[in-house]
Amino acid sequence: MALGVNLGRDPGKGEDGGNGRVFYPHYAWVIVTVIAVMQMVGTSVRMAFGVFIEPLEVSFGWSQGTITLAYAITSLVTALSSPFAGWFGDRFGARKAMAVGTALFLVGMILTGYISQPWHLYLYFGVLLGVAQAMFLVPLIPAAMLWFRRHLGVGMGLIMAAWGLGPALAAPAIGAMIQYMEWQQAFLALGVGSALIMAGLIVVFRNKPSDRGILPYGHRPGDPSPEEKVVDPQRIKMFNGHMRRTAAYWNLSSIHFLGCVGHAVILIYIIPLAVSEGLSLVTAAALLTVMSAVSIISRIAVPILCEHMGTRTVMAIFYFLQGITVVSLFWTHDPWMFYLFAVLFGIGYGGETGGFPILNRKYYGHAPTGSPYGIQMLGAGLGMALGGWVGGPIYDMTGSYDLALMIAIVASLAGMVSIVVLEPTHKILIPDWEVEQVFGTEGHGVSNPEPAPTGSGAD
Amino acid sequence: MKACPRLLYGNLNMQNDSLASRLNEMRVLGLPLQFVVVVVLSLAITIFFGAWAADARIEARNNPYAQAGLGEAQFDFRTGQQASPNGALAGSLGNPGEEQGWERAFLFACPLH
Repeated sequence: MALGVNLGRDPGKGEDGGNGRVFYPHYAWVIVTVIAVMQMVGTSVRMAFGVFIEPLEVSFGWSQGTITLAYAITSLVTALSSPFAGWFGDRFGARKAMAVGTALFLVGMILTGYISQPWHLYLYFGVLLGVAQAMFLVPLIPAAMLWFRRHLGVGMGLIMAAWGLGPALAAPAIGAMIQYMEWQQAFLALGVGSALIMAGLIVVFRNKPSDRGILPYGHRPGDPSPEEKVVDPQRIKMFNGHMRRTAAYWNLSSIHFLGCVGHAVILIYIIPLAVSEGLSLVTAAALLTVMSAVSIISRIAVPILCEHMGTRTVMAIFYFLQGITVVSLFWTHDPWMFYLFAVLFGIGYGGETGGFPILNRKYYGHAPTGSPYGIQMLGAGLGMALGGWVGGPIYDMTGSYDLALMIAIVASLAGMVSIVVLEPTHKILIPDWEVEQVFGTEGHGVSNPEPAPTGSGAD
Repeated sequence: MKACPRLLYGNLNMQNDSLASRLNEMRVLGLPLQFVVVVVLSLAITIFFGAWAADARIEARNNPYAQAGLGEAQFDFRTGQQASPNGALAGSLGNPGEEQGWERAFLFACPLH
């Protein structure tokens, strides 16, 4: 029988047959694959932006600062439009968000192929592709969560792994394209080719299990339907109001911000730092490849560990790893030391982001979490922008990256402390919000605490 | 008596609750204390370093001798070599007496520059 027809149809005994199997055929794996490929394709151009710098310089005579400003604008626009993208996904569904993102991506890529002024680059590449990327990055994660009643960590781990694989594949692939055609043609080919792939992915994507008449992955007899609680826009709005009153809604955003400052400094400045210590450009650039490759392991492992060992514990450990390994850079001079650093830092860096969807599930249950995830991605984007920028003026003023490294260490360790003092995850934060709405009470999750809905690990 | 609006509020008298719970209940203008601390410190860092950079650029623009003191050797990605001290920055400073919008904004916002 065809994969797309029989997956997930086991209504008799529940989706995992009640025996807790982690892996079994289900359409949720198709969704995970669609999201992973969508995010890799949709963000590949930004990840490989460095490849376009020299061709643009040669074509127009623009300075590197003029060109790289487009990258900064893309990052900021993605960050600032993330809350909107989260709301859009909750309101209209991830499938429509993917369609809007694909249309913006296609238009942005084609128009970028015809630029002649810097502001063209900023508008088409910076703004249009920035919004498109928010549409790819934000609504799809909460959509994936709807497909998993249990074992969400496994699904998230696979999606997060794609975030590490993307940079490793995109730059050499796009670099090879530019060798065989003009950069303008490369943008057109990438835009049209990527849009075709995305269109195919949208065709097989479904917003939620009931769209295919099946139950979520890991569903067992007796489990409540995940779609009963919040369905219509008015109730989503009401629920979002309750979420905004929880401390976690805001604190998770600032924690993601701190984590991203902690690794953005390293991702942007490790190459010039290594070169200043005598490494060749090629050897130094390979450090990024090593970090990305190693990060795939922890990207897969962290969401799974979060479900079994306690989300806050695991996240705090990986924030600590990300921060403490940077200390070694103050005494790192030889190539082997840099590579050892890349391996150890890659483990912590890869584990920075994977816990957030699991925490959202534990804090907010099966409600639509596009809004909090959008706010978290806003924090992440601003963190990447600040971390990527701050090393530049510091180096200009002091001639050293030491102060930037200290900021990276402090940010990661402050993130770790913030995680430790987050609310416990053994109960969801707003289980009885509809009762509160009727009776007008203000408390959250105190009177009738409901157990967190996923995994055994609570902390 | 009419109650005064409070900027900072929270329950600091809980005897049986953890430090984490107390921190999560402390609010500034309705937002969690942790979040506000991160926002304020991040803004402070951004403004301080932005103003520092703006100050140095303006000084270097008006005093060619100061350019040599701005940073040390810079790495030039195009050539793969160490560039002359601050060559890239010096070339992008602009004309003496000119101030760019972002420089004015950072210097206006920073009380230390």
